[in-house]
Amino acid sequence: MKTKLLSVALIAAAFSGGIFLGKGGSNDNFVINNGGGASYAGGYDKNAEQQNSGNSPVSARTVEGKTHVVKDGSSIMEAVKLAEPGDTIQVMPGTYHETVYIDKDDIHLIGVIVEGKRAVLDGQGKLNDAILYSGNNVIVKNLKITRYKGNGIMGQAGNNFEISNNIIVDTGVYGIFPQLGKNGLVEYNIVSGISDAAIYIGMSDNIQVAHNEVFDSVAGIEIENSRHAIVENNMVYNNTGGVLAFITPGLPIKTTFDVIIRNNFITNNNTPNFGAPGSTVAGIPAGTGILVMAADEVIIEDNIITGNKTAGIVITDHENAPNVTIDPESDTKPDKVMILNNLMDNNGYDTLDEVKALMLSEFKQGKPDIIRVGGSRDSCIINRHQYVTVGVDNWKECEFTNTDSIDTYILDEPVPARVIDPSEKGKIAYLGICAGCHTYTGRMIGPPVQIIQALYMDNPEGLAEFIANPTKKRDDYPEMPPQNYLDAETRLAVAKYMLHVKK
Amino acid sequence: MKQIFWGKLILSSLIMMLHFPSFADQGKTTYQTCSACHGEQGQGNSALNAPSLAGQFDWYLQTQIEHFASDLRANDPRDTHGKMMVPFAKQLSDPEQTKQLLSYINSFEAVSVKGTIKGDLKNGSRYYQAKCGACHGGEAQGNPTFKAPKLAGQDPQYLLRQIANYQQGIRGTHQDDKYGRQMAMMANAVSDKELQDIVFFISEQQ
Repeated sequence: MKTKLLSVALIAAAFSGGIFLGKGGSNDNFVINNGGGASYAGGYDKNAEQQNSGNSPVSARTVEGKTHVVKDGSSIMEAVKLAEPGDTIQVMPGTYHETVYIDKDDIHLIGVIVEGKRAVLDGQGKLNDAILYSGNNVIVKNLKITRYKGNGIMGQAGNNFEISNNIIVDTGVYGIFPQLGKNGLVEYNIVSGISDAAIYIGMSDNIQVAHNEVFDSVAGIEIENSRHAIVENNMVYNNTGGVLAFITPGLPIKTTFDVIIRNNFITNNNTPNFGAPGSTVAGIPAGTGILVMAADEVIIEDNIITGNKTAGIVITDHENAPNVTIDPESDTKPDKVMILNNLMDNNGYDTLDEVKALMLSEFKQGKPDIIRVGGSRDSCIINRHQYVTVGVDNWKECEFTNTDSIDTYILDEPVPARVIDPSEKGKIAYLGICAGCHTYTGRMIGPPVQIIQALYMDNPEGLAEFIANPTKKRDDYPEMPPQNYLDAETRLAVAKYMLHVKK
Repeated sequence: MKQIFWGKLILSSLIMMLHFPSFADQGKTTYQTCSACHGEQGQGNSALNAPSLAGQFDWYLQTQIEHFASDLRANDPRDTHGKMMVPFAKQLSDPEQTKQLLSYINSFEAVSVKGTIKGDLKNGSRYYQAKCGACHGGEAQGNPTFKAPKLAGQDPQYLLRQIANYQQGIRGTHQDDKYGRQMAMMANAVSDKELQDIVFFISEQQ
């Protein structure tokens, strides 16, 4: 028995050795089995931050509050107004035409599904937002949201959130958009028909995006200016770009790093780009499976990436990306990108001319799976011989083959609720709300803050008035939704903050 | 009798027409003074530092005439080219005459300035969209809502000179010139390299 094992080992050694010699010293053709190798240790040690164990990012309740039942024909918002922290709002099947704004902590908004019938929030193409929350420990679950112009579900600086089991169809600019949140879960949602990002994680930390079905949108799942995020087990298809990890320049939080994209189906993301012309997402070439732009420490592992016509994976710096300005405070280069095993097939079959030219410069042709343009330091890849690649020949081999030792970046204990000092009202509203659509120097959804500063200069009152009652001023920009759910004091505070922010 | 009446009427109408040239004709007459620098068809003359007027919004031209006349523009001794406009603007004191002039200028076909400047289109596009497009429109077509003039078709050298004027406090400093002050603020938010590419991008628009 022992000899038999030994001989198998010898045969294996001879075989691989032969290939080794045959390739003149290159170790390209070692096939690395990701089951056996070392495991990636994670971008950081979350245990250093907290210990213990648990599942939901939302604080467990010691005392269950009241349950408010909302029936068809009545208003969810009225129930929210009555609710106290700790309460649950159950929404019965029916159709609701309203915007729900949750500015309290620890509210669970749960749709009741009866024989397949859901509570449907229908914006009728007139309302801007379905659910906005600024509270901490908020759950939004089991709803169906359709025909809003702005956001399906938007978080505004709430920590410890859970957005799950929702169906969001044809709803404006962002489907699910937690902005400036720490410790959150977005799972088991179906999101489609969104003109920017279907699931947009903005300026957030410790996020899990899992088991979602995302299609027919411009950007499928977007991890932007965020850290410690895992995107796994999602089905992402028929978008313009599938899964994106990037830094948008000009936002107040300047980095994206430690993002794991694993075990997703990322297929046929070839939908023509219908984002607002000139905006950041309008620069995504149709047919992009995964896009890494300027983000660091992005790990791409065990995805099935097929049928994306430009390329399976595109890695770029800001300098080479269209519609992106340079932010002197953001590192423009995607460093430490790690590409582990992925199943890639039939990508790049109708790629860009620039990509073909790049390939020629490396004497390559064919259908590109992986394209890297611009600078990228300390990146690595395994089994590169399996793919048609551009710009990764000089990447080193990764020193690990899997991320099995990292379960989740959701913290075991919920983080403290964000407490907003009255003097910071304007700043938090700016970070949690405005920065969702406005960067300082670039065109995102709305005009750059720098231009707003020139237009309103010494007139914060005028800006505060516009925030409450915006009018359409630009043919090629979406109309700004009124932010009149904020009180007048907050609106003036945020206007003042916006006119003085410097980056 | 009836025939004579009609005959008289026609005759008197003809005389009226001779005495009162049509709207556009009066504008044309006034424009003769302008054409020496701005060109027969309002196409501008780079050598004379005269911007193109063809294709520009009439409300923008009117505002500029008013600003030149009231010292809101060209009030800095360094603005030698702007100073040349002041006496002509002051002559246009009759609103009706100005209206007719603008109506005549409105009849000119916009010109193309493609190929008159070099730059990087991709970089120009990204910085144009970031710094300019929100007011001047995604294709430099201008936007009445912001009182932002059309830039497409304008002489690149004129645009560069105006940005320099804004940057150096030569233009857009008067307290009553709100839009000029807005522009001055943005002019100070672009670098020289960005500016060259931005103006190139503008020159490529129709």
